[in-house]
Amino acid sequence: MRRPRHALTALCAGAALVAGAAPLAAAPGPRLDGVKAYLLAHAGELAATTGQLEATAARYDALAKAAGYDTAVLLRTRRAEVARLLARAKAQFLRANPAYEEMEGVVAGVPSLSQYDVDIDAGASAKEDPSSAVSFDVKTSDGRVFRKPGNYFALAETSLWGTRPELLAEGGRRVDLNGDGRVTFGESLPDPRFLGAATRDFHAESTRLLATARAWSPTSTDVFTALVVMVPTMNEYFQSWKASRFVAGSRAREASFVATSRLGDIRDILEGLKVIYRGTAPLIARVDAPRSRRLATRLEALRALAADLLRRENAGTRFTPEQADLLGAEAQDRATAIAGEISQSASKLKITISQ
Amino acid sequence: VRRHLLALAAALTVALLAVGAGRVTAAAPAPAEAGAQVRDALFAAQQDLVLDGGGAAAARVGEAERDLAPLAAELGPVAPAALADARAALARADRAARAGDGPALGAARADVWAALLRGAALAAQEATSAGDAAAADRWLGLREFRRPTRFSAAPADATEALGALRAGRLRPAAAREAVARDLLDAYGARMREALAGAEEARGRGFRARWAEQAAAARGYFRILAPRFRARRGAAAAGEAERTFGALAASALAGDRAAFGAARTRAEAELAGFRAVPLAPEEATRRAGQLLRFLQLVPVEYGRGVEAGRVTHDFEIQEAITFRDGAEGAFTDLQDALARSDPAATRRAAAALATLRTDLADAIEGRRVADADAVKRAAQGALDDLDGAYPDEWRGGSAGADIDVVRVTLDRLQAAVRAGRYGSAESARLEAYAVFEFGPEIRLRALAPDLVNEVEGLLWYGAAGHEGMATLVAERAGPEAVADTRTALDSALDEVEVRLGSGASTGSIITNAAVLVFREGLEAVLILAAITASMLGANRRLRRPIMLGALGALAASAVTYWIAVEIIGQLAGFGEKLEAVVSLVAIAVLLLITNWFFHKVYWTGWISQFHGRRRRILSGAAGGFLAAQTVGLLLLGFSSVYREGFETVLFLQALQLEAGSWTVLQGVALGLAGVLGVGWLMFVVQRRLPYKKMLIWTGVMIGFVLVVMVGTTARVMQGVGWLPITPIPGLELPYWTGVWLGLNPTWEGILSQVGAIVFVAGSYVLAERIRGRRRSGSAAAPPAVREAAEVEATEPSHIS
Repeated sequence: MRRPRHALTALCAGAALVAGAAPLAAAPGPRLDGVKAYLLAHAGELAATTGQLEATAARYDALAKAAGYDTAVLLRTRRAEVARLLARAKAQFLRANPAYEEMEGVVAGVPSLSQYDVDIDAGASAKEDPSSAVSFDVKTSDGRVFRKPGNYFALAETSLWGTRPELLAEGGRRVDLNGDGRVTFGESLPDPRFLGAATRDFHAESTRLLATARAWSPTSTDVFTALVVMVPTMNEYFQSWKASRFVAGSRAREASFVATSRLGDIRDILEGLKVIYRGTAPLIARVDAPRSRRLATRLEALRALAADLLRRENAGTRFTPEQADLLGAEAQDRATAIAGEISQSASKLKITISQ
Repeated sequence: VRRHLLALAAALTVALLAVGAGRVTAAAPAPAEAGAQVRDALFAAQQDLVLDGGGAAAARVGEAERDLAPLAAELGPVAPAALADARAALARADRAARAGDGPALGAARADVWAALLRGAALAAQEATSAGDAAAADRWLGLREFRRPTRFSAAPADATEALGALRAGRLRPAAAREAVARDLLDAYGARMREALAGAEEARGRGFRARWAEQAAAARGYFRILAPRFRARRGAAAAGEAERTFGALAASALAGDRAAFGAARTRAEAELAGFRAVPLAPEEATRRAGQLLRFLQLVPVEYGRGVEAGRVTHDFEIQEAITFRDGAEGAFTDLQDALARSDPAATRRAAAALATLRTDLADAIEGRRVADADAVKRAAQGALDDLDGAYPDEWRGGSAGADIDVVRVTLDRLQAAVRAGRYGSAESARLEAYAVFEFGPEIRLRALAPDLVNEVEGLLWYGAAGHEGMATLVAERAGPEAVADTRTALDSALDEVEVRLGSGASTGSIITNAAVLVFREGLEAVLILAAITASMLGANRRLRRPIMLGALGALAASAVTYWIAVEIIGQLAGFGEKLEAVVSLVAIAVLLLITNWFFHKVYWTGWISQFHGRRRRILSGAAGGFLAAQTVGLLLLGFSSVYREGFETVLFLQALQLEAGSWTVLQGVALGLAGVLGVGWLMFVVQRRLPYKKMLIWTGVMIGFVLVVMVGTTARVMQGVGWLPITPIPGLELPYWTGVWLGLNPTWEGILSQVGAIVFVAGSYVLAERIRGRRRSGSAAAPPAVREAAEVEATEPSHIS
């Protein structure tokens, strides 16, 4: 049941007005509508982008089908078009990723939404860890079933950038897509039927998330829980950054996080958490104004730390594992302190944190 | 335009206020801000050294020194030693920054920070002692927290204590102790983390982090040192101080061997030390967790291995989860256990270590320990712990049980995510069993509705949510399961609150009375229905039923006494025993229904018709009646004992809560109510025309049978004797299960339909036979026809 588009626009506008008007309010109140508006805007962006990704993957599959799913024939006859489609798919992935990461704090931190995080961004494959595996299988048009293969972002990323051989077309592991005589990282051919099926399901899941987000009524418990649950997970993100090719280079154990640095995810997640915090700050200020200000400052400092590291990385700095370890530990300590202070505020406000 | 101007004016006002506030803040930053600035500046120095060559590192340390100045003014009077340590460490940081010495800068930074935390902790406690909650609150801004875990966000005990102090609900001394406990608990945990972090950094060869973590461990220990000294004496405290000194120095020097030796010594000296002894209720909770988790380790492991190989890695992972949980609880209790029985504590620690190795080897494919060996290791530890537990830990803790329920529900969800619905169902039944025989017993006394809600969520649904049994059976997705889980978590939170708050004597008496009345009513209903037709000469058939019922009452009283003595053991068999007793009751009820329709009506009619009543009841029919007597005796017994047993179990909760005297008052009230209703029923029966009474009786027996069959099917599903197949699309409110035995599964409904068919079939058959006899009697002499007509109107003519 889809609501008219103008309802969303009105809601966003209303939330923006509330957010803008709040500083002028005599008595600060919760701004949870702002959190919902933020979630809706990002869920909408994700659904739209994954829809585009699905269409691109379908076009790629159609080309492969026309070539009888023969990699050699496909490259011989449609190399340029294939290269263009895959480049477009990668660009779409790179747009979808921050759209999600910026709202991940809400999705993963709110118990009623958190399963979407497992399937879209955080769940392992059943082979890696059955206890934290995703809930879905991917069925391709030729009847193959990939049982609980990992989260959608990981599937799209590892098939597009070619870091999981089982998701590639036969003979598609190393392909000179741009015809420059060299095969560089990311030049590979995804299994077209798999990519088509995975992106189709990814889009469907994103659409479901959007629908759930529309029906969600945020509560104080939701937003405080999201902060307390998500803020202290920084070290995990730094660990995956450390294990990714951005730090470990060719010795990377991590197949995912090859397209964008995990630092970008960390920055985006913290950006989302800042938005959630803005929703709770007026409440906290009621019982402890200095703490409310301090938390805003500390969250921003943490985000700035991640942003600075990302800036350095984008500028060419290659961090060593030891440096990554040091930085991750510091981020974790800061995050733990922030979460601890939020718990104290929740206690003062008699707000229950859902564990 | 006017609105815009107003908004602009308001914004300017806010901005001016903010600037004003900023000035105040800039003039005197709170300890939290000043401490964070010092810490950040030192991190910036480290970052500069590590990432940018160190050109600006010394300048950053200079910033830290300036940031310390306002804090020093406040800290100096209350914690001069801590301030001196911080300053000395800052001087070392400066030298390290100038020398480009990463490890030394890391260690100095940790020293500065730990000294500030120590000073702030002291200042917060002093302010609390002085009753100055506002000052204490300011100092508490400069602190660290225990890292959050699955079961706990950072505790807010200190914050709450200050709130109570401010409100006059807590005296300063008590508030100070609460603040101290909260802080020491956090720093005790951080010290152990720092030790582990130093060890890990050493293993990876990360020199700066190694030095920093070792220095942090020393710094945290200094915060705990006064408590350590109080517990272990000055000599031991001095020795530990030297050990931590050696630890930090060896890490700074990169001396692996010396570090390893110091770490081993530190672990030995800290063994069993808790800066904050657990509160009694928390210790009982942890003790309960330890036993529960440890019991589950061999169960899960046994399911995951077969013939020397791992068949279900999922189960091994679960065994690891439980073992880790057991070790966490053991670590918290080790100090107290060691005081009680050091040898047993050492053996339990060794067994836990063995289990860790066995499970890790199995999951990583190195070696698969025999399931029996794992069972022996776990059982050995359980026996040792049982011997070492103080009495006050033995009563069990509802909180621990609820933790186990939560962990088991985690497993359920993980199994659903992995598509392993068999494992999910097994986890669900485990969660239900733990709840049923743990918290539920007390909860029935305090909040019976809440019991219904939790049970409903674990089975077929409650409070607008699907039940877990339905979801698992229908292979529902993780979202649906998560929805019910959220509802269950809220209900379990409420359970903890209710169990923690206890109940008044009045409510215990009321609950006992209601319980006895409800269960007693069922028994009376059955007895009234069965004995209703036993009139005239057959009145004597009531005797075996009543004897059976009285025997059941006596047996219930004995069961009550046994239950008080061995409630724990009895509860373990509770539901299975209930299933068996229910099956016996159903069998007897079916028998009696059959007899009722086929023998009583028919035999009575025939006896009337042929005038042979006397002979049948005392002569040739003697064998038949003897068998009936046994059947009736059994019927009376099982009908009442079934309810009596259930009542006894539920009454245990009340007995534990308020003692036997209070419970007996409620029981007396309930029994009075039951007797009153029983008397009313018999009066109504007597006044009803005979035929109506017969119909009423038949309907009552049928109704009781159908409810009993439905309830028993549900109990048998609970103990795994019947499968669970939900009926798609059928949703029933929870009360239909409680009052009518009506649950939305094929097994339950079909059993009840079977019972209805049986009862109706018996009636139809009896009527047909009777009709045939009547048509036969139409040809009989007029006197006989007359007798048959009399039978239809006069109860005294019927057996």
